[in-house]
Amino acid sequence: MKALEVNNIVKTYQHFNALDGLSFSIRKGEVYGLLGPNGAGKSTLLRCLLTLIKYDSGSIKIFDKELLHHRKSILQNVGYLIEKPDFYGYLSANKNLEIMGAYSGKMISAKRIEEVIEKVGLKGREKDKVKTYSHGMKQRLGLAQVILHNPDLIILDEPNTGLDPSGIVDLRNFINQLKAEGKTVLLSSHVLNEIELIADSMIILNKGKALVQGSVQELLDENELHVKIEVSNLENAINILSNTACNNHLRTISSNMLELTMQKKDIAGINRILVEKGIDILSLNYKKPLEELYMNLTKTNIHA
Amino acid sequence: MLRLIKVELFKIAARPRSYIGILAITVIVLLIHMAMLADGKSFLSFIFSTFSQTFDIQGNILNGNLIAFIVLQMLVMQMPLLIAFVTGDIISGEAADGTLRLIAGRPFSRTRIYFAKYTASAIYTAILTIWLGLMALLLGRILFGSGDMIVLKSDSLTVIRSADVLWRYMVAFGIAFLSLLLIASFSFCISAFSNNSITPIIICMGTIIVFTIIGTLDIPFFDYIKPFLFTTHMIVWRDMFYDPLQWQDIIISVSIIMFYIILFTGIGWYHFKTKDILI
Repeated sequence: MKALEVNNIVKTYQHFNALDGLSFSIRKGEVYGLLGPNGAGKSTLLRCLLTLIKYDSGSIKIFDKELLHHRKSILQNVGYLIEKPDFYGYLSANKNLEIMGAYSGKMISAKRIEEVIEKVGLKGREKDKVKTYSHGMKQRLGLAQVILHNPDLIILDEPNTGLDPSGIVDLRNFINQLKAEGKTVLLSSHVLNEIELIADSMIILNKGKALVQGSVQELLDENELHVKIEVSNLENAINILSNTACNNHLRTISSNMLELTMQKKDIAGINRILVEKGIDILSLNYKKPLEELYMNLTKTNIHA
Repeated sequence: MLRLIKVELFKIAARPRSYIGILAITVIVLLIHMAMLADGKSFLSFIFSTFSQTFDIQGNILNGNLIAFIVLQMLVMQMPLLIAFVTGDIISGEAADGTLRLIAGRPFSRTRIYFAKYTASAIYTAILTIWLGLMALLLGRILFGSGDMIVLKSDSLTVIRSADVLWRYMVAFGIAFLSLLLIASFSFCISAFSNNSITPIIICMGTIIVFTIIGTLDIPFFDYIKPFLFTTHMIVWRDMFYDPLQWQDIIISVSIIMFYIILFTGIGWYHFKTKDILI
């Protein structure tokens, strides 16, 4: 079953196409990464999904229902955190959650509020005014209001912005827990590493269009990496590699370092060949696969 | 809907700025009462000096009924500011703070959200009007007693029998409420267009000041405009204290006030319903 289906959606601001015929779908229960440079259309897309922005044409289906025709029942089942976590600063976390509970369209008990406060680690501070909270605490409160009404689809826009390392780990665990509970998560992020670690599928947007979409693993496996290898004997290593299938863009970087382009799955094989031929590998490194893919795609498209 | 109205009322009640109006009314009315207690008689002698040769005024005319009238006259320019200060911020303040996007993507339609907030604003306006009534009339009567009420017009003097005063005040406060609701609707409407708190308050007060100036200038050209200015009709509550009562004029003014309330509410609602929430 599809949790979300976006078909040919278009949103134009004056003469600028923020979304230009975008289509993609998310399976129920998966974590879906949404990537793209600034101005790619990510925020516009997320706002369209929540009816904060009206799109010009196309259709959005959430849990097989047309969003604009079944807005109320659909949005009862959606939790979201868009951009920064803004709250009523003059109220406590508890009161903010009571308000969000009322707006969720479901009956939210005091016990449920207590549960989510505990889950996001705000126990003990729930009666303090939100204006006294740090950014990290507001982010936690943001996550609390996302899950307050137990939605099946969760939309998170840059949730790790401004979080410290332990906050990022907590967030990752939080999303993994949601996934384990069978929730569908649409996660927009600039932190490519996080998407690589968490997401099952992803889409990269630029100028309102999808550059690439699909399973994270498959996309990364297909992507070619620039691998730098530091060896004990450069000349021999180049000779050996020139005679293998993996000699794509083979070039010398320095007196003992070479670079070649290959897929991630081929790295182990190259390593083995060199070692078997008596060449020591002093170091082997490459950019994170997603970073490589992202940079390749967005750079090409920005220049185009 | 009731649940949302309760939430919106709670938000208004939780904000310190909501109490500025109540505090301001309390302070101003108490100051006027104190001034009248200290020097009211000489103040009235001065006011009525031009009539002393024509009329023989006997008994105590300085009573709670007259003081409430003086208070209302004095607060006519301040009350809209106090109302706009809160109602002008209800949507735009949330847009500026980012909380509007937090609630606008929820299952409730924009129309419901708009009218829940509008109803809360109207209730706030009613509370402020009632508080003004209690402070001006009730406290005035407690401090100065009741009695016949003498009202000065520019060229005449009206005496209202004590038995007639209360119902006239009730109707006058009803009209004053509608006038203030008009201000609330106007500032609320601008609030739907704005993404910061200050703009609706400035526009609202600027409009009232400009309209009031036009209304007071005796320039023939402005005579064509005056009937269309809402400020012209907002002071019709005073007509409840003149004799004979000009019901037709009062009803026309109240109808125009209601027309503007519906107009501003409608414009604000339509814009809020269709606007993209980008902040």
